[in-house]
Amino acid sequence: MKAGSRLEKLLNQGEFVATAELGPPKSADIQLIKKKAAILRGYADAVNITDNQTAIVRVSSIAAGKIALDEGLEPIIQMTCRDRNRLAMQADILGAYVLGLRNLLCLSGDHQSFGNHPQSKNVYDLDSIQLVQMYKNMRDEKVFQCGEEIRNTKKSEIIEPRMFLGVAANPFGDPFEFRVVRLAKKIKAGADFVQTQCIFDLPKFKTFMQMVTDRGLHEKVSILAGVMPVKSPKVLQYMKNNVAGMSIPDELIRRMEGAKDAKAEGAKICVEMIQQMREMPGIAGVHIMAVEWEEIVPTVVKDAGLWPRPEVAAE
Amino acid sequence: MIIAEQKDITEIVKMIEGYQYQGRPLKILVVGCDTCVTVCLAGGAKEVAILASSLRLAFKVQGKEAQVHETSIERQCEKEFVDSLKSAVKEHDLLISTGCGIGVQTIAEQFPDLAVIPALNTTFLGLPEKQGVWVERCQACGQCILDKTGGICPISRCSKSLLNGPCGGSQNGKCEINKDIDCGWHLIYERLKALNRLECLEEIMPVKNWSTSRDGGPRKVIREDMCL
Amino acid sequence: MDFTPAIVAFCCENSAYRAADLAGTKQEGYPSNVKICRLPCSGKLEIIHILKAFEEGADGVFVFACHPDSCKFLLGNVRAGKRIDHTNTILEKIGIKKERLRFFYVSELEWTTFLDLVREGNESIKSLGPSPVKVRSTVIPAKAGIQKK
Repeated sequence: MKAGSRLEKLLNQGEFVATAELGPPKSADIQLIKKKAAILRGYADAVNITDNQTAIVRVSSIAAGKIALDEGLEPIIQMTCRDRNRLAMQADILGAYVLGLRNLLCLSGDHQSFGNHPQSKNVYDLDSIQLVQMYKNMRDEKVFQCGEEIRNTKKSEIIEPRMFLGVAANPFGDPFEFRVVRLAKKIKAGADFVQTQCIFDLPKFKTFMQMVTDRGLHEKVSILAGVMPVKSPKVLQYMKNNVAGMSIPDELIRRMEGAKDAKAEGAKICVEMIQQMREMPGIAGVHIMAVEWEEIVPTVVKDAGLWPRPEVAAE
Repeated sequence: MIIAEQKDITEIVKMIEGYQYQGRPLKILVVGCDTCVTVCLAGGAKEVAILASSLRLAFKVQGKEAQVHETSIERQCEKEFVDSLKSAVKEHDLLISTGCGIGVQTIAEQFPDLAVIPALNTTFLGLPEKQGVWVERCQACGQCILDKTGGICPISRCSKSLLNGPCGGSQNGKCEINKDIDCGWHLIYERLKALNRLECLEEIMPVKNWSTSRDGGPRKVIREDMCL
Repeated sequence: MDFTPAIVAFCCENSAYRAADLAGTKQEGYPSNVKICRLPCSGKLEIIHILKAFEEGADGVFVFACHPDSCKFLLGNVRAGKRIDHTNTILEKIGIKKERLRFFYVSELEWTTFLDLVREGNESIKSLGPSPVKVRSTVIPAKAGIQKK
């Protein structure tokens, strides 16, 4: 057991896991975090707590994660390379571990020009691959990036942060044939689990997964396929036009446009995706990204036959 | 070379406003540089003439009194060339340099009693892509790895300076932040593919030592064999 | 107030200059305050020439180029157009109305058009009044250029 987190245990048990997302508020609104946690409780095995997503300032992932933990969720803390240097990153993982958090997703992070502070200096001291490698070494080799042991004094005990480490993967970025190589690199660097970008283009995703399973990568890492319930066809159109690294088939947009109840249709499409993912070789679970629509997660989870969530087997 | 571009003339006029002397016209000398800023069409003799003329017109329109003279030297980043301005400098109250930031600072160092203002914003190290367009190529990080990336720099050409790129936002060879920016890592991938060296990309590039870059503080290079 | 503006007309010798010549032979009358400056091509015109004209007291500057795709040096009229645009931005920022700088296309045979444009341009400069450069300042224009070493 690497970190002993609930997510890790369930994956080891061979369960088809379901993770969700909680977007912290853009203000010091602790009640909203608790409210979102209450919606998701019991419907996901672990919940990503996003980190200044799209470079818009929100409550920090670790702070919101601790609150979510206290509310009964299993958080997956997110860490971007955009906002922190290696000192802050190592301090943060120690802090997160001390607070009881046990899962961590390493990301490059959207460039700050996307967000509400485009004039800021960005950091990118490390990239996401170097980050997961650094965290793996902290956990397994018990050393800081500089090589020093993780102990307070020469005589004190080594207490290393033991996190279950995740990375993101985008099957649709370019160059397409390089995406699998990059995934292999992330696994080599130390990723324990992978969450993909949200999938709308199933055939292209299947091609990607074929390359993954051909290389045997699905046996080295747990791959969770990203899905996103959308509220309206406009959301899909917006993502198609503006979000880099997305592949959205026009038929889906037309289907949403033709629907009487767009929200219900969006949830239905998501459920269908999940059902397809369950049949695909190499997929260990799904990651439900209901961005600013946490309320729909219970519906999606139930309709996809993923409720109730499994229990961790007794030792 | 160093690429710079001229500041908005209203900004330059505003900078001068603080220097109006009473009783006699302000005497300004606009100094150009014949090296990098000439090539990037920002501060050579030609641009100096245009700026000086524009300033004279601006002052006349405002009813202000000022004399604006022009000159240009080979390079503002070498003290010997800057020293050639010694006699001209004595006759003026204010210098406007159309050199890069290095030039402005060298002039300020050589003539500490004279006010010098920058007419340009120094932007980056790069080259002309085609006439009228200059692009960035180098971040002067102090640890060149161009041998590993097929001659394309990920620090300067990747918006996130990733060493194990591309990130998930690379689409059709373009960077997620702007469709006019090529994805640096896409370019590296294509170049290594053409050179039959794609296996380079399977290795994890280790964490960068940024201390040789500006992050380590202002830098100095010394060649002992040349110091007398 | 009866004001006769001082105007410089930069004319490409392959088109406008010939049209001006032709107009001269027709004795149709030509405003004598519009002085013609002959260029081998409108692309020879530099931004500094326009600015110097205003410094020396011009109330208006006209530039005549060959029609698009008719420049015998291929891109001369394109260069001229771009330089006019750039000069316009400078003029606006230093307080000189960009309407004092006019850019026209003519061919060598269009002598009536040339005359019309010159007359119309002259009237519009008259209505703008004297250049603010002349009106407000009494400082003698500084001579440019210190010897370069």
